[in-house]
Parts: sequence; C-alpha cells; structure tokens
Amino acid sequence: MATRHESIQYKGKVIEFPYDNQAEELIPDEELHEHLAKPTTDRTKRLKDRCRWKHATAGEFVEESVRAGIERMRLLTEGHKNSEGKPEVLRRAMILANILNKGTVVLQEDEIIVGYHAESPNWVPLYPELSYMAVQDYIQSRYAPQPVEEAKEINEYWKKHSLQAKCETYFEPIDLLRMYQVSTMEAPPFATGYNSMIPPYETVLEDGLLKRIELAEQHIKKAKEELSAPYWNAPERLDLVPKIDNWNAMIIADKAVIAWARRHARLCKIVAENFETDPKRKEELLMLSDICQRVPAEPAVGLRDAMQSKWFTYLICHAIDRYASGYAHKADKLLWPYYQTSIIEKSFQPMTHEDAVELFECERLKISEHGAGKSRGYREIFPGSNDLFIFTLGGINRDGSDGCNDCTDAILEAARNIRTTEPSIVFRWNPKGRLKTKRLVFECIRDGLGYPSIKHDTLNTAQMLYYSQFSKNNNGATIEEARDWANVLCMSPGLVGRRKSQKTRNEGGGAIFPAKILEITLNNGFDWSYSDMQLGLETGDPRKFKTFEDLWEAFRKQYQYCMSLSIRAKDIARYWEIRTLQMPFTSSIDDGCMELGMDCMELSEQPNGWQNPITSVVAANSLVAIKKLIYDEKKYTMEQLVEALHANWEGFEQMHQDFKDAPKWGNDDEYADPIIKRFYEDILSGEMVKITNYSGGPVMPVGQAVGLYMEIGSRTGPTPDGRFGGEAADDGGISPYMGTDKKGPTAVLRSVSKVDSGTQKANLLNQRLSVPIMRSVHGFKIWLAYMNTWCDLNIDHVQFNVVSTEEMKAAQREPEKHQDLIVRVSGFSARFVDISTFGQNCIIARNEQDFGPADLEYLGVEF
Amino acid sequence: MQAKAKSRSLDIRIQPGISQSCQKCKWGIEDPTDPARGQCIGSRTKIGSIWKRMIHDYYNSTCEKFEEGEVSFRDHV
Ligand code: SF4
Repeated sequence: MATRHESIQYKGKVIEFPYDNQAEELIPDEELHEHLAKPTTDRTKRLKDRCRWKHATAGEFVEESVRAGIERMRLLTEGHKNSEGKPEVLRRAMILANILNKGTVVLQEDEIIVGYHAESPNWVPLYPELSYMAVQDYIQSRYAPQPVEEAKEINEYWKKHSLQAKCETYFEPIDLLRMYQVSTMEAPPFATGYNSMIPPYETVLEDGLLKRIELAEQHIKKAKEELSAPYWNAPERLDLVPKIDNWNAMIIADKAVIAWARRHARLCKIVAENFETDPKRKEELLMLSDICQRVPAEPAVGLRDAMQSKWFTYLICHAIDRYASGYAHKADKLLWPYYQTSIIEKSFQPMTHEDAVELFECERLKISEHGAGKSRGYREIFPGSNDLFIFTLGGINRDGSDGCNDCTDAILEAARNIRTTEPSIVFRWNPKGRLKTKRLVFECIRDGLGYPSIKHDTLNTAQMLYYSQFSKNNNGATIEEARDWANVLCMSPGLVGRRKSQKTRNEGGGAIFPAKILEITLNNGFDWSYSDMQLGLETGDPRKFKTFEDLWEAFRKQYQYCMSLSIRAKDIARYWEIRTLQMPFTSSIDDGCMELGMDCMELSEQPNGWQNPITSVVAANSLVAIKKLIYDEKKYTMEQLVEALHANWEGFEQMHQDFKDAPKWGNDDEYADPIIKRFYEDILSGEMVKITNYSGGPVMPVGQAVGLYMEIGSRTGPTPDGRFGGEAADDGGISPYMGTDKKGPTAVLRSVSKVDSGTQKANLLNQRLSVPIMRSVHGFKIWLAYMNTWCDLNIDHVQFNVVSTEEMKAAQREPEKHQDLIVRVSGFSARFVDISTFGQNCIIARNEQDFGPADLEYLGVEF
Repeated sequence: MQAKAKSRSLDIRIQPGISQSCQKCKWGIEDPTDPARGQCIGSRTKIGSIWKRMIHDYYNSTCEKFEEGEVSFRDHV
C-alpha cells in the first residue's frame, strides 16, 4: 500500500490527502515509478526497449557496447590534409563535405526520424581537432577507436593542429596545471573539447537550405560587382575578400548537407523497395525518403518535415561539424506552425494529436541514444545520464502573448508517457501561461521526472535586454527578440531565433568552485588535501588575519585570479576558433552571418557571458561559521580551525559540532542570510562583472552544480561548515546544503529571495517534495500556490525531486527492477540505478520538504 | 605550525618505470582532463565518500597500498 499523507488541521478544518488517482493507493511506495511509464504506441514501446542508451558514470559508459568510432576522425584528417593551402574557412567547409559525403548513413528499424552521426548507433565520434588529451584518453580506454594504431597516428597529427595545442602556448605551465586539475576552476573548453551552442533552427525550417545558398550567391555576386567597380578603394572594399570566402564556404557546406540528407532518402527508398516485407513499414520508408529528399533543402511544410529537418540540423551543429552538448531551442514555438498545418488544419502530413505525441516520444528516444564523444571529465559529471540535452517550452511569444499551445502540451505528454532521462525540459513560468499546460508541467514533476525545471520568464527576458546594451555592433536583442529565449544548457538563457544566438561555450559556460577556493585561502593558496601544490595566489597566513574582512578580501583575490584566468582561456580559444574552427554551415543559417558575410565564431551581436559558481553554499556557510565562532563570539581561534581542518576534525569533536551547528543557508536565518547575500552579490557577482569578455559584455554568475558538486567535493578537504574532507558539496547554485534546510519549503524561498536576482545570471534551486502530498487530490493546488509565490518573490529557478526514500532504497537493493526510476541530480535528470552508491546516497540525504499549516498559510492555499 | 605544511600525498613516491604503478592499481583512475596524470580514490570517509588525491605522474608513481584490480562504477564518486 502507498503511504497516504497524514491529515492536517488547517484554518479550523481537517484536511485529508487521498491520492488523486485512487488506484495508486494499492501500489507499494517502493515500486510506484515502475507503474508510471505509458508509451503512447507499440512503436515507442519497442524503441524504448531497444534504445541504445549512452549513460555514463564515474567516467565510464554504463552500457557495455559503447565504443568510439574512427570514421569521423579519419575523414576529418583526410579533409584537412587534402585542403591544405586553401583559406581556413573553405577548408572547414571542405572537411564537413568530406565527412558527409563519405561517412556511413544509418537507418534503424521502426524509426520515423532518421539519422546518426557515427558508423554505428552504438558508437560515438571523436574530435581530435579540439582536444588531443580527450582523444588520448579514449585511445587508452576500452572504448578505443579501431584500428587503434591509426587512431594514435591521427591524434599525433592533431597534436600540433588542435585548438588545445594552439591555445596552450599563451599560458604558463603552472596556470595550465591549475586549470586542468579542475578543483578551483573547470578546465577550459580547449583542453576538453566541451562545447555548447544554439543553432538557428528557424532559418532551416522556414527558408530551407536552397534559399540560403541562393542568398549567399547573391551576396557574392554583389560583392564581386563592388570589387570591380571603378575607382578602387581598399579601405572600403578589401574586407569583401574574406566575406566572399565565408559565403563560398557556406555554399559548400549547405550543398554537402543537402546531399547527405538525400543519401538518407536513397537509403530509405532502397530498403523499402528491396528489403522491407511489411507493407506498412514500406510505406513509412517511402514517406521518409520523400521527406529527406525535400528537407532541409526546402522549407518544412508539415510536422514530420519539421522534426526531420530539425534533427539533421542538430546532428550537423552538435555532433558532425563539431561537438556541442545541449539541445537548446524553444521547441513549442519552433514547431507550432507545423503542428497547426498537420494536426489542426490537416493540410499537409495530416495527423492526430496522439500521432504528434508519438513523434515527440520518438524524438526523446533519438536523443537518448545520441552518442556524445565527450571527454572523461564530462563522462564523470553527469552521472546516470547521457549529456546535457535540454530544450525549453512555455513563456511568452515575441508579441507578448502566451507562448503555451497544443504543441507544448503534446511535447509534455510525450515526456510524461515515455519516461526517459533525456532530453530534459525547461519551462518558462509566466503568469500568462495557461493553466492546462501548467497542469501538464505539474504531472511530469509529480511523476518524478525531475523536469521541467522552471525559470522565471520575466526576469530572464529582462536579462536578455540587459546584455543587449553591450552589443559591439549595436545590434543586441530588441524587446521582441529578448522574449525569444531558451536555456543554452541547464541554467543560462540565451537568444533563439534566426540570428544572435550563442554559437560557442567560449561565450558563456565553465565552472568556478568557491569551496575549494576557500580551502586554499585558508592555506595561503596551497592545496594540502588534493594536489599538494601551490594552487592559487599567496594571500597571507589566515592565522594572522585580524578581522573577518581580511579573510573576505583574501578570498576575493583568489576568486578573481581564477575568474580572470578562466575567461582569458575562453577568449584565447575564441581567438583561435575564429581562425581555425569556423562553422560555415551554422553561419549559413544565421541571418546576421549571412548578411554580413561573417563566420559565426566571429560574429557576436548579443553578449551572453557567464561562468558557473559551483559549491558556493559550502563556501558561504563556512564563512558564516567562521564569522560567528572566530570573529564575533571568539569561541575559537583561526589557528585552532586550521589545525582541526588539517586533522579532518579528528580529535576536535566538540569544535566540529559547533561549526556544524552554526546557522545555515535556507532557513530564513537573520544571522546567516545577510552574510550569504553579500557573498553572492559582492563577490560571486561583484567580481565577475568586472570582467569583460570577447563579446564586450560582462560575465555574470550562473550558480548550478551538475555532478561536479560531488566530484569537487571529492577534491576538497574538510570545510568550516562542518563538512568532512571528500564529502559532497551543495547540490546547486543557491540550494541549501543537503539536509540543512530545516524550517520548511517557504523558509527556503524566503532565504533565496533575499539575493537580488538581477545580480545573478541564473541560480539553481533544488527542492525535494513529499510524494504523498504531490500525488494527493490537493497536490496541484499546493504546487501551483508554491509556484505563484516563487514567481512573486522573483526567484530565478526551481526544480523538484518527487521520489520517495523507500523507492530509492529499494532500487539500491534490486537495481534491475527499477530501470524507470528517474531522479533530478542537478541541472539534469538521471536513471537512479546508473549512479554510484555514493551519488545515490547524496540524493537520498536531501531534505524532503513537507508542507505544514504555516507553509500553506504563507502560500495562501485555500481548501 | 605552518598553514601550508600539511600534505596528504607524502606516501606517494615517484619511481620511473615501476610495474606496480598507480595506473595499474585498483585505486588509480585517469585524471579527467590530462590522462598522463591520475587520481587516487583509495581513501574513503566514514559516510562512504571518496576523498581523492591527485597523482602528478600516473605512470611512474606508486605507494604501499598498491592493489591490483578494478573498482565498479557503483563504488566511485
Ligand atoms: S593506492 Fe597508492 S598505488 Fe594505488 S593509486 Fe593510490 S597512490 Fe597509487
């Protein structure tokens, strides 16, 4: 039997909590989630059963069959050698064409969206042109591409040509070592190959690539006329030469993409006409052949066209031309015109709403088996999941009207029904959002998917406008464009649409770790607990700090050193991306690049700079404890603290208890909260915004965690908040440390709302809610009241785990019976049984928030 | 006492060419960025978390706690 929540005395009434779905009361707590998946059709059930998951944990792929393919790196290298002597941007286009013309085309049974980016759907491609170290790691592993000798030779070739090699020369070895060890700061993208971007899908779906080729040809024609006009004027005209190269590269790339899509069309036709025996599937294959023949060459007309065209564009931008994590787009806005054509008007590719739901389930499964050839570091930090595949829904349209529509609902229904860890969903919460859609958002969360995670629509739109004022070409977002945003990865917004979207992680992304920075500040910059080296600046012996401000300022210096180094590394990588990693296909589908004849690595009309503080709450709680016990109450000295930390608190039990009992974040505490507010605003944000990045805008903090809160915890010694060495840090952004938010869910909201959201780019708030409350007849009403209060308090983000401890413990005992148990780790959801035991325990240890009468009253709930 | 005198890595010694290197040890894993370096995951805290140490020369370092074998992903961070 399921546990029913106890009745509550509220405003003179007794409130009972029967389950919304009475049948669920008969399902034991420990197996609820195994009863929730309901694939819409037999096809999606079959596809899910045979899905080639690519989950990784602790740096290893969970599925035995995953390997690295050699095909992409081989064709890339061949293309690079064969194009020697040509302008770099043309080389990049020719390399892409070489991969697309010669690479294996994959078609799988049952699929209604086709295409993969390696020679086998079990394999992942590699990117030696980005980081030779990441490829070296694969070569040493059991996933090594075969033949391994050829892989070694290719990697050796790229050691001198790779982005990593080009960038490393501008840094002292000590700086590289400090960055690469990922304990005070994340390694720069040039050392890992990790990347993110937002492809302008809109132009592909609306225009088709033939139109983009025509546009480029017109620009070349006009430029050549200008060049040959009388009265040569070098300052005015010489710039047309690289523009002509860029437009030519766009044409080569677009033609290659069309030809590649049409290879899929031919393959579908060949299989249909020669091999397929099932007449229904034969018909489907011929339909797919027709679609791949038309898109992305031509504009999409119906929903099937749009989904296929989007998928091809995704594969090129995120996996074939270059690796980029993420699945950033505003899906319901992008697909709504095609949903209307096919489902409402039924004028092309007619189908029902349920057919659309099936299509969206198929898309989820395509993403689930997408193989990211990412480095070991990134196979460690999203435990139990594949990659940060996240798209966005809801919010408002460009004209300010409600952005929720029937397509939003179909996408949410698909997510609820099929239950996959990827892709995750962000929902833009706006008071205008329709209730019907918010109910579906609730159902996904209530069912324990961990997504949608929710972002404050108005705050984030205002942020896009804020950044636009720094635009180098005075062409940042207009108000209409500012309303058109999606999360780039899990937390930070960026523009979507036909131009001005982010094309590289060197613009925004990459972590900084305040907990470790505090640890080394307490050791004059030396890292005694992990790397045994001088990891930061020498900011003085902390035992000689006379005031709390001395410590505060020493921390500030260490933090600024890491920040400046991190952003310098990204901008140097940007310098080389512009010169050697152009993306002519992506440029061709960006209206700005097309108009100006510029590559998308170079053109940045809308600044969007950020860095991710992770482990901030451990540092903040530690500062609170130090201020209280050492400087205010003088119960202990700094010398005693340093000694206790070096002993990992052993032999200092009472002192440990006192530091552990010091006030903690998330309890609406009068002592702790002002210090922590100042920490977020004066240091985390205050120091970051002093930095200006390539695009001319400030860098702002995006507090989050991914799995790094555990990884960095394992590289961080004991901290003054009472943590032991190696223990996990806080699980995200502005979330209270696990188990320390003891005053209920509304106290957490009050604490978090004290930090001015306008000083931060984003901040992750993880909350774990009671299953019996959420599944009760009052679940939606209480959650909606919580969300409306959250919105009124101007908090940037919130996401929920709704999974019982009983079920998680049952899954630890019998993992094979709990394959469908999904949990929210940080900015992503994970299959619980694919996480290490320690990671699982960290999630179980999170405080499950119940709603008492005081919370309900604060939220204004009426029964 | 010096604030920076403490180290957790005193027992790790560099011995070029050693067969029982950290790379072959059950408790050694590749550094997530640079595979020429490594991490020792042999030290566990009371609540089961791993308190890592960095191994600067993964192929030529060792210590007395060397053990052959592999650790399942379930026992990692
Ligand atoms: S236990 Fe010793 S030999 Fe093994 S990885 Fe750790 S330091 Fe190296």
